[in-house]
Amino acid sequence: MQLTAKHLEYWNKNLRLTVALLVIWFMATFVMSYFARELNSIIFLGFPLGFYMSAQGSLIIYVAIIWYYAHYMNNLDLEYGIHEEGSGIGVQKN
Amino acid sequence: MNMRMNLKNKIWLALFACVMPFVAQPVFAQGAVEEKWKWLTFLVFGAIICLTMYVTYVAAKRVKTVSDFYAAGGGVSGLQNGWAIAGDYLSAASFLGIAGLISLYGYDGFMYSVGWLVAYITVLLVIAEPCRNIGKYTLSDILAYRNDPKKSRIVGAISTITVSTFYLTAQMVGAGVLIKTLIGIDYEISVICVGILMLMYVLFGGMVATTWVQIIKAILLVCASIVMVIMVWSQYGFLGDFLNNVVGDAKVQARVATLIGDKAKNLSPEQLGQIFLEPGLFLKVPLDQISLGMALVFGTAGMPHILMRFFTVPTAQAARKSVNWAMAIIGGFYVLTLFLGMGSAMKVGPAVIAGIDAGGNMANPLLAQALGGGPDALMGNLMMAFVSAVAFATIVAVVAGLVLAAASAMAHDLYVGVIREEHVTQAEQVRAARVATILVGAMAIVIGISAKGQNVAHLVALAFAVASSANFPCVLMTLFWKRCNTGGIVLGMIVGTVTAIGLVMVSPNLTYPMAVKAAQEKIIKASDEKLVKLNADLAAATAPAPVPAAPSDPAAAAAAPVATVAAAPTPIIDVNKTKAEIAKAEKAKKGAQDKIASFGNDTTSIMGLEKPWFELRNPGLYSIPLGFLAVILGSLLYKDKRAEDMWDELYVRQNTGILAAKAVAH
Repeated sequence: MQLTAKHLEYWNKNLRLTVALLVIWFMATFVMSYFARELNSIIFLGFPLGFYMSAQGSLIIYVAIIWYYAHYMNNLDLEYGIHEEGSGIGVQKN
Repeated sequence: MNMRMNLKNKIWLALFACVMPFVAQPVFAQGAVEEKWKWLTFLVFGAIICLTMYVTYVAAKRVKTVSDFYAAGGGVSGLQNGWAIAGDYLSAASFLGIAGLISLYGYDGFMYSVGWLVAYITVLLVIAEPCRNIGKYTLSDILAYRNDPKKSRIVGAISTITVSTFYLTAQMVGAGVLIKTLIGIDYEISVICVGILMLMYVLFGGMVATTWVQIIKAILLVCASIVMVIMVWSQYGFLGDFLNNVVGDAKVQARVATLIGDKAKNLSPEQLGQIFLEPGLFLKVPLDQISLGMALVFGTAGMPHILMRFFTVPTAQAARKSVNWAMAIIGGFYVLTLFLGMGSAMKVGPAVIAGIDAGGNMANPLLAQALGGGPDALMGNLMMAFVSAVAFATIVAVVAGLVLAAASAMAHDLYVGVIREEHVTQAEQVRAARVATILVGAMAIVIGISAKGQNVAHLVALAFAVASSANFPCVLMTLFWKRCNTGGIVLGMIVGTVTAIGLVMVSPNLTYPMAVKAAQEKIIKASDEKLVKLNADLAAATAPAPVPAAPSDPAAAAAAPVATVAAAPTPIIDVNKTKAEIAKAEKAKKGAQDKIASFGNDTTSIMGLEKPWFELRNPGLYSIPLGFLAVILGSLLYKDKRAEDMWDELYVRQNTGILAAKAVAH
């Protein structure tokens, strides 16, 4: 099967989104827990922030990341006409 | 149809045969549940087992084709698959282990749970969707798509079987120990019980039953947690109040004081409580943590039983939706775990939890019991039984998923793909799958029993190490690197597996008799010193008042000659307390001596080493880059026309899912 310009454009958008989300993921996971002790001096909802981040905050960020990814990609599929319709209709028009 | 009914009757007979002995003739060791409440525990266990068996019964009618058996016919909806993924993910380790670790170590307990969770992000964003678009039933399907089918199937199957066996063994041993701790059934019987149940799910219901058992279990798990958390909140308050209660709790403060030892002397109780919310109580070697994190993040992405889950959904959209749901469920669950772990630290107390199981695994069941009114109340035991039964279902369900993955590697990749070269009918394929399931299941039971009492920590490390250093680089490179080919896959699998296993075998995960002996000698020496001092105190306290000090103990006399003479009547020490402490020290000494004796003349580990040659418990930091390097080198040194030709097709298909539905129907 031959790649079209449209395929590449779709793929590039997908890649850009993935990289951006992984950067947020990295910040929330590794950077935040590295500075946990320092962040603990800030109080958030009655919790020390560093503690809150690893207990709940990072989890909420992860869920948001995934939700956004799924939402964005579903829209992208529709926009580029690449969504499957169960029975494998595939690309409708290139 | 008639035969099928007979088969069903046999299932029930077999089930009763394996459950009845415990009800009729209780041969219990010491469990966490008291003798008079055992009936209640079995009632709840029985109810949950019956529920899952009913699901298997219904599912068995639906399993006709090979696609039904391996991938539930691609007919699982996004929401259902989301719950099933959550079920796969929320293993006994996360339900019992993480809450336990939080109750024992506070903040550092979370670092574990979050570490496991982050893995899923990489799975979704990088690997899940393209895998779903290319694969059919197994990990090897992905590799075989553009590389030499035979060779990649062989290496893929070997790696799948290796990973599943390690993980399976750890789960079986964990199950045996856990059930013994919970309700006191003998270890061997527990392992056989788990094995038979799991075999029934997979054998008759295939992926359909395995999926539904996971869904039921995940829902029960979440419901039980919500109820418990609400009860914890009603007692200790919500958000800020809750945390203040944790910091101010005497049991928590005592725990921190024991953990940090001498440093605790200059701290106020509030400061001690505060330390519970900071890092550093459990994880001490930072490099090992990074290495563990890498293995967990990339290992989950390479775990065959997790990858298989994505083949059960009909479209890429459904795959995304399922991860979305899974993430929300798992995330929500871990948010609850905070309150469960901290709640059990306050309600039950870290000392009690660690007293029953040093790893903290009993924190949740004990919390349930305490919330329901304690060990004497009906409600308390009912809640504990429910939580224990859910934990049991969890183990069985995860084991079922692993067995299915290993069996599919044997039957689908090795037998159908390599030996028969795809010339097989549907019926033959399903039969092969069932035979492989029985083989793997029987093997799991035998290994589980023979590994009784072994340290299995290194097996979990091994499973994740191999998955992250062999499977993950090969899958990722096949999907995303144009030059990748058969040579790279074969070399990557071999190098990744060998380095991962090799490094774990020479790591501190194994038992090193010299080190253990030295540690025990230290305990003996400390106990001896303590005994001398305590005996002196006792002698001084019980001796007639005017005598200055016991002549038999010059050290004590020399240390405080003036004080003893001057204040002879005042330092009246508690005689009973001292006696109890003497008994404790003697017991510790005896235990240490027994432990040394148990090693006999051994001075080396199984590998013949006196001390670990490799310092990290988890080899990921080195073996993952090595695995990638091997894939790259192998690909550059090998010429493979097919892999190059297939790139464009793969590129389109992995990103768009065109033709993927065809694979499901194929």
